[in-house]
Amino acid sequence: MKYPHLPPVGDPAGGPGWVEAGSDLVSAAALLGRREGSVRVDLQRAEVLRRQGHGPQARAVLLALRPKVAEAPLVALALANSHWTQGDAVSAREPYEQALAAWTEAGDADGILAARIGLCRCERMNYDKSGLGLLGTAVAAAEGVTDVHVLADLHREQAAWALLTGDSDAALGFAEQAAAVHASVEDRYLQGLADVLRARALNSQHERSLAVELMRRQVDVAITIGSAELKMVAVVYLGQFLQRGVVIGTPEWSAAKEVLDDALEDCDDPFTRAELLLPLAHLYTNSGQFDEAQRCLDEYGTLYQALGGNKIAVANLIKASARLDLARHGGMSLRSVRLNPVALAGLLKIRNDFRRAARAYRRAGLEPGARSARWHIELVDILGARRTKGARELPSEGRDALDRSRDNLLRAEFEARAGNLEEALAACRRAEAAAIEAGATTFAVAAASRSAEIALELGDHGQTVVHVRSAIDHAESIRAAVASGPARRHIAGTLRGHYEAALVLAATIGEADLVIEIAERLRTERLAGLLRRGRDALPADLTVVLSELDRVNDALLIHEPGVRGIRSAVASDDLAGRDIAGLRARHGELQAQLAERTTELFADTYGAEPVNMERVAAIDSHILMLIPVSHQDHDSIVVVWRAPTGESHCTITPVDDGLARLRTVLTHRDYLDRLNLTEQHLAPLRALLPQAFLACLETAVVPIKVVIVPTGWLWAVPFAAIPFHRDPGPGTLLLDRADTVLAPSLRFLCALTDRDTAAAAGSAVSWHDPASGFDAAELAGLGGHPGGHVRLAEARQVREAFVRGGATWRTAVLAAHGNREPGLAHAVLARGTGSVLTAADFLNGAARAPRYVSLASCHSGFPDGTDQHEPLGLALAALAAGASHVISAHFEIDATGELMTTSLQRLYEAMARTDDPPGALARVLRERVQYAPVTRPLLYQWAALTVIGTH
Amino acid sequence: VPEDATSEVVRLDDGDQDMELLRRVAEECGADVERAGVRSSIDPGVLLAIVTGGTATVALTLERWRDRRQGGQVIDLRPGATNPLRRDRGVLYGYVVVLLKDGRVEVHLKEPANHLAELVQHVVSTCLGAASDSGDGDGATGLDHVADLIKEIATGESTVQVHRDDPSGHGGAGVTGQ
Repeated sequence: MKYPHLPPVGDPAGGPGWVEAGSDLVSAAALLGRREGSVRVDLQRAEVLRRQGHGPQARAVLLALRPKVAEAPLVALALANSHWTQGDAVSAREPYEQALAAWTEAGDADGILAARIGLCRCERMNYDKSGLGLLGTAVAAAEGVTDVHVLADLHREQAAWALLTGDSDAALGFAEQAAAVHASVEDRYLQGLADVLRARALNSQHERSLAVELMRRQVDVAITIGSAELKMVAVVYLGQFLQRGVVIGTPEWSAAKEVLDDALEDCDDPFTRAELLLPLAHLYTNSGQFDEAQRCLDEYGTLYQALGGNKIAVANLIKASARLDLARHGGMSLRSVRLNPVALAGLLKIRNDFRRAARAYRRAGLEPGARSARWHIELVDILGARRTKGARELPSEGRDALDRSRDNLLRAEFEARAGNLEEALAACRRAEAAAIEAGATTFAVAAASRSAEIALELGDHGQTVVHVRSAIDHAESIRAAVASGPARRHIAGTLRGHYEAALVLAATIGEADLVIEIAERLRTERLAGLLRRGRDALPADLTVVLSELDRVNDALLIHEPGVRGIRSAVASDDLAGRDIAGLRARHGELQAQLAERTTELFADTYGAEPVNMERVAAIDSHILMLIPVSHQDHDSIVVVWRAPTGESHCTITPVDDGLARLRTVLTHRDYLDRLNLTEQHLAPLRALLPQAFLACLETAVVPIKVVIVPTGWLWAVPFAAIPFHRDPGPGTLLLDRADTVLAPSLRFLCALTDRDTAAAAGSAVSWHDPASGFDAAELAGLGGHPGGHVRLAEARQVREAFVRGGATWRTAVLAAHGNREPGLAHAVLARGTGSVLTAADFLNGAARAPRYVSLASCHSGFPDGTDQHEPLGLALAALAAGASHVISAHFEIDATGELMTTSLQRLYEAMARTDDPPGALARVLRERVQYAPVTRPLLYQWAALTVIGTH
Repeated sequence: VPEDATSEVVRLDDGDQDMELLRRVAEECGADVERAGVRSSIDPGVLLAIVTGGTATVALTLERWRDRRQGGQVIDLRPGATNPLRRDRGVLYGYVVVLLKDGRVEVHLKEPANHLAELVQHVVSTCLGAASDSGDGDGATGLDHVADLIKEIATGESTVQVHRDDPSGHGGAGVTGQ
């Protein structure tokens, strides 16, 4: 802001301090402070304060002045500038008009122009295209003005208006002219403002990288010269440029977030805060943190309302809200929207919102905004499988890489829906290349995944594999790249969506090894971390969450003892007053925190390595992996079988009514139907098994060793009892031909196999809950251990023996009740004494579990949980803590029946001497007919037992 | 153990009372019954039983048990009755209670499995139909008329008791209410 008739900042004629005001505001303030007071010196002081970001102090200086008539408009101009800088256009307008009136009366052309420029600024803040008339008046007022610095102010203003009307070329020209003038007197502050305009013009021209770089330089300049005001302006736009199309997982996402967060901390005026909140909302939207995004948009709207309203802000808010809705429907990735009727109805509403935004932008005369809204309408049209006229024309070589990637993805969808598969594939490849160039990894994943689908449609299996691998490679690069929990969940969800799609493709073309690789990548971030965590204790905050969860569980028990378990229930004072809905809500929050923290903990600390297929090839057991996937609105189960010879096959089976019923029975909260399952109810699972595997079972002379890697609800399947033969009869169950063991993943299996197992002690230890209601006669089987069998008398002794008793005990057995708490809260319970042993116990402190652990309690192998690829519970935690094998249960097991008691007793007898618990369990189960009280026992009476570990 | 032996687990909602009934029915049908339990903390207070035997025997046992645990039959012919036909656990299985404006008729069927349906059908078709046809139904649903009707069709082994002007005197829970 040039003050008419004052030397420009940087000009030695301005006196000490005024020269420095362009490059070192701290020194300038000091030097001006030492000068004798006068209206002009105080005005200079106020300007320096304003530039420093001390608007209120600047106004205080100005309001204390008693200027002469000739100096009054100068002071009014400075006062108006200080208001405007803080976004208060309403307060700025009056002093600008006073200055204009005074200079008009005096016939001062420079002054008139300066005041008119100020009024244009006010008009621009509440932008309306009708305001262009005011700008025309200012331009007209420039006629005859010879002060190049005032003219430079006009050029900056013209540049700003040109940006609003979408004329970025003109904006760039005006801004460059102004920058040159400011540079001539080394006024780095005003030059910085001109460069902000240049950067905005470049950004409009899709030269995003140049714009970002220019803006970063302005932040540096602002810090160097000590201008918080310039820094805030630069940060607002830097945040806006960075967030535009920024893809989570890239360093730019984090950088943008950090920049905006820091600026919000510093900012103290509503206008700037609103301007910072909008890009922050977009960032949150991109990262799936929808509640945060909504919060930012709500505040943005409120702040602009408080500032008197603004047509651009209204349009921005409509568009940003529509983008948020689109993201909530999964529309951030072109491939992830499910086209069910609900989603389609949602898309129609979102489309209307974008149309409203486009109209609002047009009314405001902001063409770039209208263009952006139209782009989103194209996206929605594609997502909704509607016609779009624009997609063919979208790709433009002049735009930046990110835009090219996005446009090509859009075009690929358009071409694919029109049946032009070759063109669609080409567009996908261009999208992938551009995404790589832009560093937009999730776009690269989306493009490569789509390429694979199109290649498959073209019948090119070789290219399908190439593209699937490409998608996986891109995806791997952004694993664990995001720090915040919600963002991590979002990215994990997006990636898993792509992985599952890739899995289906690989299974469709029969690439069994590729199926294994992808299935491995769908899991074990947490599990691999668990095995590698060594003896580190759990972090304190995680322990706090667990203990709080325990307290809430106890409080819930008071309200609903039938659901929450049989722990003693003494609610803490602070929870006692809460109603059941409040407690449930708190319980849900804590579980979400737990899931978030455990995932972060294990992924951050221990990372995840891809499975080593050479190591997998060395596994001398048959491998059977089963993965439920949702793809294109259909539930399917992918199964891959790999023999020790390397022969491998896979199947992909839609979940039909029979499988769906079985899934419901196995996972339903009410267990009665589950208790009445027999092996015949498992017959639908036979369809999942590859024919070659079935043939292998048919011809097996001795039982083969099979490692089963289940996923999600399939952990509840008693695999041993699956009928592998079409005709039921003796010797036709899986266990008749196979010794099975479960593992959560092949990486976990390899790590377990490769782990050094200390020489096992020879004793057994057990604890039987005396209040359990069953007699646990099976514990007598432990007497055969060479070192004898010790029965613990107290529940409090359990943790020490099971978690840290590896040096003393070979086998540790619990006979108590189990529950279905998810994750680390998964527990064995005793009546009246709460949790006897939880999954968290195995991970807290220096664990060294006994070699064999039996958790023959209900659900000990399959806890509840929403994350189907990352099971975590008692059994896996015990393995991570040093156990090599854990006896556990797929679901409920019999507490009183002779068959279960005898089976367990024989298994415990065998565990005294065997190195092969899975084989021992299989033998016991095969012999069941010898001591079965009925010829067709129910699965819960015998088959729900399993071993998790290794062969 | 029969060759086609099977088992089914049931939940005993009324604990010992349900178990006792199940034992009696199983004995009658030739099935075995035992208490069952699981090593789970879910629903710790709920009791389970397992019924074992031949497939048909188990099915018959459970069908009869489920039928009998519903209790006796109530036929409510009082004006304004909203639920004229219902089973009531407050009435012993084998009993039929007909509620009327001016009293009630109690029937104890010796062979309810064979005769209950026939009796209910007859009373309902005669009395409810007549009540509807005549408009007021006093004649068709009068105590004496209904008692005579029931005595006509009740077999010699069954007993019929008539209680005049005492629609609420019966002690069975639920009989008096709607």
